[in-house]
Amino acid sequence: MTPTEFNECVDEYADNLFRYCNGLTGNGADADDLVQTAYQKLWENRKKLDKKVARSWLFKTAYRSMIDTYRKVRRERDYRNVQQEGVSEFSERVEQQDLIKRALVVLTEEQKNVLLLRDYEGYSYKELCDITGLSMSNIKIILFRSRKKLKEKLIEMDYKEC
Amino acid sequence: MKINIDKYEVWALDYLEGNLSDHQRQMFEGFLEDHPDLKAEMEGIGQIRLVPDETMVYPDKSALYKTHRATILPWFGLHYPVAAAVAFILILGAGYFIWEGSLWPASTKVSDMTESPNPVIQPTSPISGTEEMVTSQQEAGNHEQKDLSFVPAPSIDVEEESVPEKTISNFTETQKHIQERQQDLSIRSVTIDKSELMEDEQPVQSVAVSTMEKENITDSKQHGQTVAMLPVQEGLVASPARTAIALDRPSSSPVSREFKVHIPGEFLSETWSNINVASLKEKVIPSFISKKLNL
Repeated sequence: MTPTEFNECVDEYADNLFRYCNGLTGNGADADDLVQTAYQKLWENRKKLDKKVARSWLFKTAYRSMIDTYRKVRRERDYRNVQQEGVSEFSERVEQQDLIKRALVVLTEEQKNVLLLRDYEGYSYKELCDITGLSMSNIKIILFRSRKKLKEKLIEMDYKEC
Repeated sequence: MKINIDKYEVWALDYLEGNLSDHQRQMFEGFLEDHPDLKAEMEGIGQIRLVPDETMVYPDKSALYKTHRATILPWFGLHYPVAAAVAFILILGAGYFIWEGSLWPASTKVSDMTESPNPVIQPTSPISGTEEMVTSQQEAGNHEQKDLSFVPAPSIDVEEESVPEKTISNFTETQKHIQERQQDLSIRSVTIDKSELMEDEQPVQSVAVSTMEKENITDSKQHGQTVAMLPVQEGLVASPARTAIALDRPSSSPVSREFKVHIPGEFLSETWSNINVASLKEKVIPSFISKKLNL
């Protein structure tokens, strides 16, 4: 991959990757970090990669980076959130207007990953298998359970707000 | 493929996304009729879709752009030739030093020979010194004569360098003198033309001479008395003009033989080259001198 092709990848995939990472993390700053990390790794491995596989490689790398590094930070943040639960709960309600996005918190990382790739990026089941390394049956089961969880969460949230 | 309660989720997703054939769809709908709880569970799931927010864009794409920088590598592609050249130079240098080192002893011999262009011939037997030294010398001579009892001519002349006698004022000078003399100790090879030997009908095959047949060290404080002397050489020299000692081995044409000079007696196993200053001092200087000088 040439530097020119790399810059083309930035133009074409950066926004989608940012939205995907934002869906994974639920935080713009963390999503920004994940995007930068993914593109930095893409640049380091540009000689081994072709532009055709760059898109799926970016999403896969962003997800793995999130799994590897972001979980630790999130664990610490969750601890702090427990300490300030009363304050943050109200502010989150004000900031997070999208119910589905708020409902994503009930999903596991793997469920969010598959669901975001499927719904945001429109990957086929086979492509999801390549990206996640899961079998076709597992992908389908994860997707079905994710949607079922989201539905239950949305019903719960709608009931609470009403 | 039969639908059961354990595998229904795979069928359910395909059913919701419309990926089942008519036959499969009818089969699944029949399964849902048999499980009304699952049918209620599936209601509304088909409407759950995540819709990306297209207004959300990455804030700073310019930070992600990379510019290509051409790197200038003057040695690019020349690593192996340069490495080969360096290795060749190193090997050449090592070979030169080895070759130079192999020439060094020869040049030393030549220089030694040129330093004493007029060697003084001194007889071996008349040696002045203390009784002890004379005794040891005679013992050494007797030992050699026993070994060479077949020699027809008992009178032997030895050709050697003239060794100027030095007076020793104190122990420091004694050590210095011994060190200087140690450097002078060397093995000389003498080439003797067989034709010359034949003229004199002396069947000498090969001989060797020691440049240090004897050495006298005089202590001025001891009234000019000879205080040290090295024993005679192992091989004896002969020349056409002098008496020679015949050896057993036949020879051909001019023979150049080289013998290591050994100190007879208890030092037979050691050569001069192996003796350092300490051992020289300990072994060569007679005990009575050591006692007097408190060495």
